[in-house]
Amino acid sequence: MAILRLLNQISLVLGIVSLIFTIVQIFYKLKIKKLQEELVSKIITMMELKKSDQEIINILVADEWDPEEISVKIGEIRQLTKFNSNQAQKNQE
Amino acid sequence: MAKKHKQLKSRISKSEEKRINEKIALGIGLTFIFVALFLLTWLIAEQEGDNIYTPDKNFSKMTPKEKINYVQEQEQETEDQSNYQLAIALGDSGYCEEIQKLSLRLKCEKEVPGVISISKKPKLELTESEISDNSDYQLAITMGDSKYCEQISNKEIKDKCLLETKG
Repeated sequence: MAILRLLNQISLVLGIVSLIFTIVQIFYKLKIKKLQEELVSKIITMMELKKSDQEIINILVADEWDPEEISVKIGEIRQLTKFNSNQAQKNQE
Repeated sequence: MAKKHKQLKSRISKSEEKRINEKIALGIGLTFIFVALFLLTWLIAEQEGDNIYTPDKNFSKMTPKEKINYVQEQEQETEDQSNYQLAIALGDSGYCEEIQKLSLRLKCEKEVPGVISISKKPKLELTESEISDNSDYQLAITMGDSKYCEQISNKEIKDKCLLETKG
Protein backbone atom coordinates (compact mmCIF):
# COMPACT_ATOMS: atom_id res chain seq x y z
CA MET A 1 0.00 0.00 0.00
CA ALA A 2 2.74 2.44 1.04
CA ILE A 3 4.92 1.40 -1.89
CA LEU A 4 2.00 1.95 -4.25
CA ARG A 5 1.41 5.46 -2.84
CA LEU A 6 5.13 6.25 -3.13
CA LEU A 7 5.28 4.95 -6.69
CA ASN A 8 2.16 6.95 -7.55
CA GLN A 9 3.64 10.17 -6.17
CA ILE A 10 7.04 9.62 -7.77
CA SER A 11 5.45 8.98 -11.18
CA LEU A 12 3.30 12.12 -10.76
CA VAL A 13 6.34 14.29 -10.02
CA LEU A 14 8.44 12.76 -12.81
CA GLY A 15 5.50 13.05 -15.22
CA ILE A 16 5.16 16.77 -14.47
CA VAL A 17 8.94 17.27 -14.80
CA SER A 18 9.09 15.51 -18.16
CA LEU A 19 6.04 17.45 -19.37
CA ILE A 20 7.70 20.76 -18.45
CA PHE A 21 10.92 19.58 -20.15
CA THR A 22 8.95 18.77 -23.34
CA ILE A 23 7.18 22.15 -23.32
CA VAL A 24 10.50 24.00 -22.87
CA GLN A 25 12.03 22.07 -25.77
CA ILE A 26 9.02 22.85 -27.98
CA PHE A 27 9.37 26.56 -27.20
CA TYR A 28 13.10 26.31 -27.93
CA LYS A 29 12.36 24.69 -31.28
CA LEU A 30 9.83 27.41 -32.16
CA LYS A 31 12.41 30.06 -31.31
CA ILE A 32 14.98 28.40 -33.54
CA LYS A 33 12.43 28.21 -36.39
CA LYS A 34 11.79 31.94 -35.96
CA LEU A 35 15.52 32.66 -36.06
CA GLN A 36 15.90 30.57 -39.20
CA GLU A 37 13.16 32.63 -40.83
CA GLU A 38 14.92 35.79 -39.72
CA LEU A 39 18.20 34.53 -41.23
CA VAL A 40 16.52 33.69 -44.54
CA SER A 41 14.87 37.11 -44.73
CA LYS A 42 18.25 38.79 -44.05
CA ILE A 43 19.96 36.73 -46.74
CA ILE A 44 17.19 37.54 -49.26
CA THR A 45 17.45 41.25 -48.48
CA MET A 46 21.22 41.15 -49.02
CA MET A 47 20.81 39.19 -52.24
CA GLU A 48 18.41 41.87 -53.47
CA LEU A 49 21.13 44.41 -52.66
CA LYS A 50 23.36 42.41 -55.07
CA LYS A 51 25.84 41.33 -52.40
CA SER A 52 28.09 38.36 -53.20
CA ASP A 53 27.81 35.12 -51.18
CA GLN A 54 31.11 35.80 -49.42
CA GLU A 55 29.98 39.32 -48.46
CA ILE A 56 26.71 37.97 -47.09
CA ILE A 57 28.58 35.34 -45.07
CA ASN A 58 31.04 37.90 -43.70
CA ILE A 59 28.29 40.33 -42.64
CA LEU A 60 26.17 37.65 -40.99
CA VAL A 61 29.12 35.95 -39.25
CA ALA A 62 30.03 39.35 -37.82
CA ASP A 63 26.46 39.47 -36.50
CA GLU A 64 27.19 36.11 -34.77
CA TRP A 65 25.10 33.84 -37.00
CA ASP A 66 26.22 30.26 -37.56
CA PRO A 67 28.50 30.24 -40.69
CA GLU A 68 27.51 26.70 -41.67
CA GLU A 69 23.81 27.50 -41.50
CA ILE A 70 24.37 30.71 -43.52
CA SER A 71 26.06 28.73 -46.32
CA VAL A 72 23.31 26.13 -46.31
CA LYS A 73 20.57 28.76 -46.47
CA ILE A 74 22.34 30.71 -49.24
CA GLY A 75 22.65 27.48 -51.23
CA GLU A 76 18.98 26.65 -50.71
CA ILE A 77 17.82 30.16 -51.71
CA ARG A 78 20.08 30.26 -54.79
CA GLN A 79 18.78 26.85 -55.90
CA LEU A 80 15.18 27.93 -55.34
CA THR A 81 15.56 31.23 -57.24
CA LYS A 82 17.39 29.40 -60.05
CA PHE A 83 14.58 26.85 -60.23
CA ASN A 84 11.98 29.62 -60.25
CA SER A 85 13.74 31.57 -63.03
CA ASN A 86 14.10 28.36 -65.08
CA GLN A 87 10.43 27.64 -64.56
CA ALA A 88 9.50 31.20 -65.62
CA GLN A 89 11.71 30.90 -68.71
CA LYS A 90 10.04 27.61 -69.64
CA ASN A 91 6.63 29.17 -69.19
CA GLN A 92 7.60 32.11 -71.44
CA GLU A 93 8.81 29.73 -74.15
CA MET B 1 18.32 38.55 -23.06
CA ALA B 2 20.22 40.02 -26.02
CA LYS B 3 23.18 37.78 -25.16
CA LYS B 4 20.93 34.71 -25.10
CA HIS B 5 19.45 35.74 -28.45
CA LYS B 6 22.96 35.99 -29.91
CA GLN B 7 23.88 32.59 -28.45
CA LEU B 8 20.80 31.10 -30.07
CA LYS B 9 21.65 32.67 -33.43
CA SER B 10 24.93 30.79 -33.50
CA ARG B 11 23.17 27.53 -32.68
CA ILE B 12 20.46 27.26 -35.31
CA SER B 13 22.16 24.57 -37.38
CA LYS B 14 20.35 21.47 -38.70
CA SER B 15 22.15 19.25 -36.18
CA GLU B 16 20.86 21.44 -33.34
CA GLU B 17 17.33 21.16 -34.71
CA LYS B 18 17.71 17.38 -34.90
CA ARG B 19 18.95 17.33 -31.31
CA ILE B 20 15.90 19.31 -30.15
CA ASN B 21 13.58 16.97 -32.05
CA GLU B 22 15.19 14.03 -30.25
CA LYS B 23 14.76 15.76 -26.89
CA ILE B 24 11.08 16.48 -27.65
CA ALA B 25 10.51 12.84 -28.62
CA LEU B 26 12.26 11.72 -25.42
CA GLY B 27 10.20 14.15 -23.33
CA ILE B 28 6.91 13.01 -24.87
CA GLY B 29 7.88 9.35 -24.38
CA LEU B 30 8.84 9.87 -20.74
CA THR B 31 5.67 11.88 -20.09
CA PHE B 32 3.53 9.07 -21.49
CA ILE B 33 5.36 6.44 -19.44
CA PHE B 34 5.05 8.38 -16.17
CA VAL B 35 1.42 9.33 -16.79
CA ALA B 36 0.62 5.67 -17.52
CA LEU B 37 2.47 4.60 -14.37
CA PHE B 38 0.68 7.28 -12.35
CA LEU B 39 -2.76 6.20 -13.60
CA LEU B 40 -1.95 2.52 -13.13
CA THR B 41 -0.76 2.92 -9.53
CA TRP B 42 -3.75 5.15 -8.77
CA LEU B 43 -6.15 2.57 -10.19
CA ILE B 44 -4.51 -0.29 -8.29
CA ALA B 45 -4.55 1.74 -5.05
CA GLU B 46 -8.26 2.51 -5.53
CA GLN B 47 -8.98 -1.18 -6.11
CA GLU B 48 -7.05 -2.04 -2.97
CA GLY B 49 -9.31 0.36 -1.10
CA ASP B 50 -6.73 3.14 -0.67
CA ASN B 51 -8.34 6.41 -1.74
CA ILE B 52 -5.26 8.53 -2.45
CA TYR B 53 -6.91 11.53 -4.09
CA THR B 54 -10.44 11.43 -2.70
CA PRO B 55 -11.05 14.80 -1.06
CA ASP B 56 -11.43 14.28 2.69
CA LYS B 57 -13.87 16.91 3.91
CA ASN B 58 -13.06 18.36 7.30
CA PHE B 59 -15.24 16.63 9.91
CA SER B 60 -15.98 19.84 11.80
CA LYS B 61 -17.36 21.47 8.62
CA MET B 62 -19.83 18.64 7.96
CA THR B 63 -23.57 18.92 8.54
CA PRO B 64 -25.03 16.58 11.24
CA LYS B 65 -26.41 14.28 8.55
CA GLU B 66 -23.04 14.14 6.81
CA LYS B 67 -21.36 13.43 10.15
CA ILE B 68 -23.66 10.45 10.78
CA ASN B 69 -23.07 9.12 7.29
CA TYR B 70 -19.32 9.61 7.66
CA VAL B 71 -19.20 7.74 10.98
CA GLN B 72 -21.36 4.94 9.56
CA GLU B 73 -19.10 4.68 6.53
CA GLN B 74 -16.01 4.56 8.72
CA GLU B 75 -17.56 1.86 10.91
CA GLN B 76 -18.55 -0.16 7.88
CA GLU B 77 -15.07 0.20 6.45
CA THR B 78 -13.52 -0.98 9.73
CA GLU B 79 -15.89 -3.94 9.84
CA ASP B 80 -15.10 -4.78 6.23
CA GLN B 81 -11.38 -4.65 6.95
CA SER B 82 -11.86 -6.83 10.03
CA ASN B 83 -13.85 -9.41 8.03
CA TYR B 84 -11.22 -9.34 5.32
CA GLN B 85 -8.41 -9.93 7.81
CA LEU B 86 -10.37 -12.77 9.43
CA ALA B 87 -11.08 -14.38 6.06
CA ILE B 88 -7.38 -14.28 5.18
CA ALA B 89 -6.18 -15.43 8.61
CA LEU B 90 -8.68 -18.29 8.98
CA GLY B 91 -8.83 -19.14 5.29
CA ASP B 92 -12.62 -19.02 5.48
CA SER B 93 -14.40 -17.38 2.56
CA GLY B 94 -17.56 -17.13 4.72
CA TYR B 95 -16.19 -13.87 6.10
CA CYS B 96 -15.78 -12.48 2.58
CA GLU B 97 -19.56 -12.63 2.15
CA GLU B 98 -19.97 -10.28 5.12
CA ILE B 99 -17.93 -7.57 3.39
CA GLN B 100 -20.11 -4.73 2.05
CA LYS B 101 -17.58 -2.96 -0.18
CA LEU B 102 -17.71 -4.78 -3.50
CA SER B 103 -14.09 -4.28 -4.53
CA LEU B 104 -12.81 -5.58 -1.18
CA ARG B 105 -15.25 -8.51 -1.24
CA LEU B 106 -14.09 -9.54 -4.71
CA LYS B 107 -10.47 -9.18 -3.65
CA CYS B 108 -11.17 -11.29 -0.56
CA GLU B 109 -12.91 -14.01 -2.55
CA LYS B 110 -9.98 -14.06 -4.94
CA GLU B 111 -7.37 -14.24 -2.22
CA VAL B 112 -8.85 -16.98 -0.06
CA PRO B 113 -7.59 -19.91 -2.13
CA GLY B 114 -9.46 -23.13 -2.72
CA VAL B 115 -11.62 -22.86 0.37
CA ILE B 116 -15.34 -23.26 0.08
CA SER B 117 -17.24 -22.43 3.24
CA ILE B 118 -20.15 -24.67 4.09
CA SER B 119 -21.74 -22.16 6.40
CA LYS B 120 -22.66 -18.55 5.86
CA LYS B 121 -22.26 -17.95 9.58
CA PRO B 122 -19.00 -16.36 10.75
CA LYS B 123 -16.62 -18.95 12.11
CA LEU B 124 -16.93 -17.68 15.67
CA GLU B 125 -20.67 -18.44 15.70
CA LEU B 126 -20.30 -22.07 14.58
CA THR B 127 -20.87 -25.00 16.95
CA GLU B 128 -18.06 -27.49 17.59
CA SER B 129 -19.65 -30.07 15.34
CA GLU B 130 -20.06 -27.50 12.56
CA ILE B 131 -16.42 -26.45 12.92
CA SER B 132 -15.32 -30.07 12.69
CA ASP B 133 -17.54 -30.66 9.63
CA ASN B 134 -16.26 -27.49 8.05
CA SER B 135 -12.67 -28.49 8.64
CA ASP B 136 -13.21 -32.01 7.21
CA TYR B 137 -15.05 -30.58 4.21
CA GLN B 138 -12.30 -28.08 3.49
CA LEU B 139 -9.64 -30.77 3.88
CA ALA B 140 -11.49 -33.09 1.49
CA ILE B 141 -11.87 -30.33 -1.11
CA THR B 142 -8.27 -29.17 -0.73
CA MET B 143 -6.79 -32.67 -0.91
CA GLY B 144 -9.37 -33.94 -3.40
CA ASP B 145 -9.76 -37.02 -1.17
CA SER B 146 -13.24 -38.36 -0.35
CA LYS B 147 -12.03 -40.27 2.78
CA TYR B 148 -12.28 -37.01 4.76
CA CYS B 149 -15.94 -36.73 3.73
CA GLU B 150 -16.71 -39.90 5.71
CA GLN B 151 -15.98 -38.09 8.97
CA ILE B 152 -18.62 -35.41 8.32
CA SER B 153 -21.62 -35.84 10.61
CA ASN B 154 -24.06 -33.58 8.72
CA LYS B 155 -25.59 -35.74 5.98
CA GLU B 156 -26.30 -32.89 3.61
CA ILE B 157 -22.72 -31.65 3.77
CA LYS B 158 -21.37 -35.18 3.57
CA ASP B 159 -23.29 -35.82 0.33
CA LYS B 160 -22.14 -32.52 -1.08
CA CYS B 161 -18.57 -33.34 -0.13
CA LEU B 162 -18.70 -36.81 -1.67
CA LEU B 163 -20.22 -35.41 -4.84
CA GLU B 164 -17.53 -32.77 -5.16
CA THR B 165 -14.57 -35.05 -4.46
CA LYS B 166 -15.80 -37.89 -6.64
CA GLY B 167 -14.01 -36.69 -9.79
